[in-house]
Amino acid sequence: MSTSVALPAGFDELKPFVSPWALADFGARMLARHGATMEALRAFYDAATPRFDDMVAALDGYPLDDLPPPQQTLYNLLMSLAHVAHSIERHNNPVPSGTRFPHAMRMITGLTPA
Amino acid sequence: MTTSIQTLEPQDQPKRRTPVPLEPYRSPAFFELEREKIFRRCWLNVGRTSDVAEPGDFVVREVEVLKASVLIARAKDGIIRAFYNVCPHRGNRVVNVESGTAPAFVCGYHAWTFSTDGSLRGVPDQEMFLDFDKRNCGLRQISVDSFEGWLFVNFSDPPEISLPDYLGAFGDHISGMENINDGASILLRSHLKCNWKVASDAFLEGYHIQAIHSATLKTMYSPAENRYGRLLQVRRFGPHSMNSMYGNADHVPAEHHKIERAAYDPTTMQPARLAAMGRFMEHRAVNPTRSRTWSMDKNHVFPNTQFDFGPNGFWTHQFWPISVNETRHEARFYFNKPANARERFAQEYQMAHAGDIVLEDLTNVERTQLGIESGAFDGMPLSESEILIRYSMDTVLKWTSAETVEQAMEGYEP
Repeated sequence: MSTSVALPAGFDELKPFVSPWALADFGARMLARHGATMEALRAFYDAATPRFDDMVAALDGYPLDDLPPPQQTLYNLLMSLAHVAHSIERHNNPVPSGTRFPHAMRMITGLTPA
Repeated sequence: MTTSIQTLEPQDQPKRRTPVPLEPYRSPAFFELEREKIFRRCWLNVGRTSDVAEPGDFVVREVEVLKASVLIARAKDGIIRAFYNVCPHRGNRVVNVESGTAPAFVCGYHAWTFSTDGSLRGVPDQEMFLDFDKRNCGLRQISVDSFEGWLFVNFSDPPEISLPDYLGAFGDHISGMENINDGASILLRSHLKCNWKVASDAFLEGYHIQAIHSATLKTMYSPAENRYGRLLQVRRFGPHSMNSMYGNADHVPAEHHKIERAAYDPTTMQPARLAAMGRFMEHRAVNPTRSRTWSMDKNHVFPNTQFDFGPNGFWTHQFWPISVNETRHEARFYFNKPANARERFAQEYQMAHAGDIVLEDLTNVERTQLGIESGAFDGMPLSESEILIRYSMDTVLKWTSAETVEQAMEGYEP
């Protein structure tokens, strides 16, 4: 997986979020979201949500299982937003209330493409 | 047990309902009975035939309760076979990965090689084995069969009942069901410090939704007009059973849930996907009462598997016993190949939601096991909405006391 921070043009304000949130699969994204602070979750959610349609549009026309590195990074960021949204919109907490992190639930095989 | 009113209500005639016993959830001796009388005699679901779609594909499924590792492989002849994942030479484990594709299986100890049909192909320095016939030293087979794409194994040699007879009327109920999701399955796994039935029970009723899942499911499954998750329908099919669950037909995501709205926007869904969902909804076993206020159907495939049906297709929960108070839970979800990034995002969002729901259920079960083991109580008074738990225990007690499978398959009250 590329470690480059590069995103497609027009997404500069999302660059600080690449390192913590542009993660390669469902399991990594789930655990990062469950283990994050509300401050970190909210910062990413607030920056990425207004750009949701732009992020989806920037991936149009590319094969999802063979993305060029900048698009792959953007894709990984977008997929993490799918997790983070639950903490912000539903739970007002990193994990659902009554549950805790760390927990023992693990993704063994994931969605395709990852 | 269908009624003419929208949900199942307590009847006027008082029914005798004795509390369901707790001893089976905490007794090591009872666990031993379950091991031999249930898990060694029932057909056990181990996934779908599509898990080994092509010749050379294999998966390994652990069945700790029988101390067995099961290697399932589709050979060049296209036939799916199941084997003990044990080398006939000195008992070593042959395949040490969970899944893959291979032309042959090679034991890591002395490099004995097996074809994907289980036969022994190569023995290094074979001439040093005297009075030795390779044909008698293949992998040991376990009975395997499939129904509508669902893959099952049976550890009796030979099984006392065929798979179609075991599924019986439940098989008729689900026959002809289409898998509308052609992508790979996603697997969430957890090890839990509770009895397998404590975990299974947690998923067999919706009465807990208003409390455990208040942020994830309540508005959809237990809205004000059906706050406690009363059921639309309950049916029993011999050892198997189902309930159909209420859903809020008018649920829409809140205005400020921007990402939820983006993930569930039906106007962006592909026509082929909407058509596939429509076909799935037409099956007799999906929303069987054809209710506008429906969310999902829960099907308990005895002993330890649940097939769930919703508008997006099916998913499964399995509860694999490890000891009287340890269980491996596996939830498998199925998705179609996404057409674009927006659809792929919606899948990630749905799966994140499903993961949260499973986590809410699983966090609770270990507390329940401790309470059961304390011995404070000996039985559970159950609501009619929890009736699948009553049926499940009735079936467990029947199988653990039945001398033959034929006896275990008889006399289920509807």
